[in-house]
Amino acid sequence: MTRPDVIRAVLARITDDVIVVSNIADASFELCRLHDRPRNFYMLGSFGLAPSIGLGLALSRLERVVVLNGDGALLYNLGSLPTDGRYAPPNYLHVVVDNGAHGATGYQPTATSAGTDLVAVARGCGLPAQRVDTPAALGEALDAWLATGGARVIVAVASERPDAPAPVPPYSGREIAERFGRALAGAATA
Amino acid sequence: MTIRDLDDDSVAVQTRASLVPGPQPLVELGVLEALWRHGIDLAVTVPCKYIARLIVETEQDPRFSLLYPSREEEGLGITAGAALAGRGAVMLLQNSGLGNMVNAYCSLNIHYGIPLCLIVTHRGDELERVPAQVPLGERTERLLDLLGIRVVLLEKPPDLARFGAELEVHRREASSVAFLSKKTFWSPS
Repeated sequence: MTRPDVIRAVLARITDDVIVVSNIADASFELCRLHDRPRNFYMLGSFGLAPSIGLGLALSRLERVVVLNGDGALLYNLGSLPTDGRYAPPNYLHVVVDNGAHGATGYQPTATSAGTDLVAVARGCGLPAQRVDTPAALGEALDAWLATGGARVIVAVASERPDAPAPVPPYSGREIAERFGRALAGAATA
Repeated sequence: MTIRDLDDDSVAVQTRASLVPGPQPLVELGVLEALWRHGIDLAVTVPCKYIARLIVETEQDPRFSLLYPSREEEGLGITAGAALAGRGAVMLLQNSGLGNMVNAYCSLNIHYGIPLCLIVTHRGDELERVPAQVPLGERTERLLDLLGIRVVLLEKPPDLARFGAELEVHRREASSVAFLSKKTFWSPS
């Protein structure tokens, strides 16, 4: 399973109203290439903050929020997991693509490659969490969340090096934020 | 003494009390009213003892939600998410926490045009007892200037009058603001 496989599995299941926050670099680039939609928030910086931005959105909106994160980014902001577990909005899903490496900077190994178990950490923070190794298992986990909701973490184990790199989204930060804000404006808030 | 006398005494006491100037209303309550009037109902804090009372009052005010992130940078992400959702949010933090937010402020708030509202306690100033707070305390205003965050000083309770007006500027211009507050602005803990 590659990171694009994980993103495709999410995109295949979500409706237009679902908000997606994608981690800096490849997760954002690949999401934009696979399906550029107004309710995608592409992070281009602020490494690690995808789950925090997603939490702020989930606590302020009624729509579901899916965070597409990576293992390196989650390790960088590991303190977000206890915060997620503490406030646990029911419309919040945190998908971690775990390839055991900092892909954007040359595939240097992260701590998960040496055994750090992000599922165990998430559970220790009070969050239901599961590891999936195949697209089929990921699909089942996503279907289960869509059926029941509840703040949850899915750690999708991915191969270290995915497809050819995707291009940078053709938008400035302001364009991303303005388009995203317009898509949410007028819809129901929490 | 009759029951009637007691009643008369209590009336007299109440009357006297109403003529004597009472304690000023808590500055913390004024801060919360101004935040509420300007559309802010989410507060995110990595605490400081100077604003312990503000945090308690926020927690007890049913109009507000109060969150405790693990770090300031994370709180910045939460308030940015709220802002993207159209919700007003404020961060309550020490100036030491500003140092933890610099990259995220530049690559998220500046790059995406997301305004930030900060209530910052000024540690490491001339009132500081902890020497390790001083190096960043001395650099705090320059750091905020460098980041392009407008600084509003709150030194004494009467500065509350400025707070609401500056919140209005923050909202109207969608610009970032830091209310840099002295220990002497807040109620004694």
